[in-house]
Amino acid sequence: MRRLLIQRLVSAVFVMLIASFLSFLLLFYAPGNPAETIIRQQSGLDPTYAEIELFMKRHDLNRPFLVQCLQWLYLLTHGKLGVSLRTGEPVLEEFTARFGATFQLAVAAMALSVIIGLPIGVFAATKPNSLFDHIIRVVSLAGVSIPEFWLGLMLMLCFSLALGWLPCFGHGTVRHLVLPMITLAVGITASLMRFVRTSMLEVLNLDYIKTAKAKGLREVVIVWKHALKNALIPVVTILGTQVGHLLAGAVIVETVFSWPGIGKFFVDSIYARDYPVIQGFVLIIAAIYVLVNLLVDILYVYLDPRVRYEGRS
Amino acid sequence: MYILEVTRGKKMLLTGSILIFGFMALAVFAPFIAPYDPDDVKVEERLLPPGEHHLMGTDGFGRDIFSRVVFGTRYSLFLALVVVSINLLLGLMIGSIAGYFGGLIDELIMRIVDILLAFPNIILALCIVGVLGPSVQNLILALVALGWVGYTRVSRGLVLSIKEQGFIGAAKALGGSNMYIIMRHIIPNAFPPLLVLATLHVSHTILSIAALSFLGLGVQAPTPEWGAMLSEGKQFIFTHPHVMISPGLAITLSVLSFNLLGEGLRDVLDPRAREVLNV
Amino acid sequence: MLLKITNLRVYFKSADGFVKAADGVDLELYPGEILGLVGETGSGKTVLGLAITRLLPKTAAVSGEVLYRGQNLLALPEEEMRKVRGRQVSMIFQNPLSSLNPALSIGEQIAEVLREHQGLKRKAAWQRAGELLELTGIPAKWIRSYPHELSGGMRQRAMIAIGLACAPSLLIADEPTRGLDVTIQVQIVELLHAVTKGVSPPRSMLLITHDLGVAAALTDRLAVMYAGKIVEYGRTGEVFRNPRHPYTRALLDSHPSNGLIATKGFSPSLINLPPGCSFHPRCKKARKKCAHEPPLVQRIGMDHGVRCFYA
Ligand SMILES: Nc1ncnc2c1ncn2[C@@H]1O[C@H](COP(=O)(O)OP(=O)(O)OP(=O)(O)O)[C@@H](O)[C@H]1O
Ligand SMILES: [Mg+2]
Repeated sequence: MRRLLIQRLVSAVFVMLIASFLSFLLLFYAPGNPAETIIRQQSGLDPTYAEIELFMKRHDLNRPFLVQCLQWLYLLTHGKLGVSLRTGEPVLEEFTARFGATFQLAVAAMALSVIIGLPIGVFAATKPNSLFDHIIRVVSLAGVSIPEFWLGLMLMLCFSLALGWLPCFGHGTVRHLVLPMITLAVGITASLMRFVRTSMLEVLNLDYIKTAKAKGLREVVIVWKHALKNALIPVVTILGTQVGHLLAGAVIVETVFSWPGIGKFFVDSIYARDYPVIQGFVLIIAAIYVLVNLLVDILYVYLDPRVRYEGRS
Repeated sequence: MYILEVTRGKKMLLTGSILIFGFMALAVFAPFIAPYDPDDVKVEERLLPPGEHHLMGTDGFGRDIFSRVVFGTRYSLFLALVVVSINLLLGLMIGSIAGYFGGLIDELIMRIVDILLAFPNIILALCIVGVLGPSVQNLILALVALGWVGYTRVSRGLVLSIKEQGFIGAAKALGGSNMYIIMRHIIPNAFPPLLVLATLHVSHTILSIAALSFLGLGVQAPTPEWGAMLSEGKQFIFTHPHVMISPGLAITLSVLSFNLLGEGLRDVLDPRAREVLNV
Repeated sequence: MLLKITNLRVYFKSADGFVKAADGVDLELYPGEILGLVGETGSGKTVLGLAITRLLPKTAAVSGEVLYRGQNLLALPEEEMRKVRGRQVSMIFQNPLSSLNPALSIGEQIAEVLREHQGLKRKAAWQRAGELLELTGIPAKWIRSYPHELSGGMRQRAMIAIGLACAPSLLIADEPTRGLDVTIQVQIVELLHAVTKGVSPPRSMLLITHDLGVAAALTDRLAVMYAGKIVEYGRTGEVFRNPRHPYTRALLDSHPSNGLIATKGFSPSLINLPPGCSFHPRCKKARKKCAHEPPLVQRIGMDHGVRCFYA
């Protein structure tokens, strides 16, 4: 258990280092001059050569690659991700200010996926090759095939414009959350459903399910207690990898719905070539990913008594 | 159970193949199928609803949407196939090297692969395109940057399992060179499971390309690429929704057909090969 | 009579035809009696046990009659059958490690049966589960442990505790000593004896086993199965002393440790059984008739029957 944790932490640090280095490398060789873009954006005028020089000097943009990289890493170890070229605020603060909105969206979408995907996956597994199972299979394939940005727009069209039930932009009330949440949840629900079904089918064939039947337990107990408890173990691992999906989806969904989270901020920063923000984002995504997978490992140990036991000895 | 899966797999395989064949035909015969030039701007005919003359209506510049959707097949399919082929070859090569030689090389490659696997694909792609600027080359580069990783992993697993079988030893004993053995024995055997992976990957790639283009970071606007069409049409969504419907349906349907094919292939594949896929 | 099986057939559909895992089985079990069922691997013993409790997969076609206290279990609605399982008839499976749920503590696995069939509340059920563990020789403090934390013998005891939880009148034990150390085997045999013959009124048991020593030690009567059919039955002592079927004889002469492969040659494919007597291709005494005409059971004395023309 402790070994696992240490292993995870070491690889976490590696992930972060590689992520930051890659993004740095990329930005250094980027064409175009960000200073020019940004000054133009701020003042609305074409900047003079001197203005650009000044801007670059102020933001240390004219030092050699290695110096900039080391400088950045040094600041990083002090919890500083630099300053946004666009807003002049520290990157970390920009992110923390927006993180709540993304977190809200991601958790809501994940919860919705679990609430819908889990039971449907279980039902499909208890009646394999039934009509229900086939329908679910087709629906879930369709679910992973719809592009999120288009689905979001179609939902807006339907529920905001045609029916007028829900607002299409903005953030704040639960009603604002509904459409982005559904958009983000569809793909995850579909893949979760499939994983649960496969995992359940495997478990339902095992010996201890026959024992449970021989004990005269009700079907409900056999499926939802005996089988599901074991089938969830691989599903939890999958949920960890789905977080990558979730984050990527959040970037697109936030952009479509103008949801004021880190995803939209990221895309806006890409448009503005706001390098420190892009670098910071890569790092933060990597950190979130690593953290979630650590949580998944812990949950895994909690769910599977066999791992728990090995960990103790 | 297995038999049932095979029959079901065959059905999906058939449906998927027919749909893909249809898309391929659209791509190849686009100039004959499309009633109008996809780039023909007619301001007086802008934003016409679907009707007799324009099956799917016209867009903000008065271009025929149906013709643009038909030509768009070329971009989506072609780009996706290019990206997947590069990834497949790259992954197969690197994975074979790792699995075949083992030892330190294997260790090093797999460490890097494990770390890269952990990173959300599209976000790095966004960064790359966002920084290097939107163009088709950069789009491909962005999707290859992390795309090869999955294939490397599966190829390595396959190579390891193939290596255990006798005939590699026999080929070696007969004096085959390493390169010869990799080319002649390992790669042909690793191919079927990789094909399934690739088919499923095509659908992912179509989605990624569309998403990047939609964000304005992929294929650029006047090109009749589906994502770019949606990006252009976005402003009319509340006034003229027909502009948004057909390109989106085209993306969904093409992705679905590759997913059907991939799933079908997976079901039909023998269970041993399927196991490798779940590595 | 507690259990009367008449003309039980279990056919599995498969790509090459029907697998005849049980092909006209007749068996009787009296209250308080232990009946042994022996036969080489693949002869259909487990299938027979599963047919009685109706736990076979849906691919199995089952016909015939299984009368339990005069009631045909095969005709019972599923919900009624569920109430029979675990309460009236319990089954203990071959491999306790894979047959116990790895994600639930053994206490929970015992207590849930009591809660289901006897309507006990959580606390009472756990209390009783502890008693059952003690009864089967596991200290009650182990109640919260998980199957993988127990030794093989302990797991088998836990399985027995689960089977006994609701005091069923019939216990079906499928190779309860398989895979255990010899000393542990002896303990399990003693435990099984204690929980059947040692209670009043004595409990009936159908003991499926490869181990003729275990059969000799525990059973009152013995039935020998070959290729889905009972080829000989009788009082245990009588069958051991005076085996009449050539297969039974070969079985008794064989070495017990090799999966009860009694004699040379392969056991027949259950899809294409040989015509006539299924055993004739391997039988030293086979004559012409054996290859054409299937033998019927002949009664040769009080409660002793054999399916052979030349017994
Ligand atoms: N679900 C099933 N589908 C198809 N055939 C089956 C199934 N279950 C059992 N069989 C077949 O039925 C026959 C009898 O199997 P069974 O498990 O009853 O043998 P057994 O006497 O218990 O053997 P062992 O001593 O090895 O436990 C075997 O040939 C087996 O292949
Ligand atoms: Mg058996």
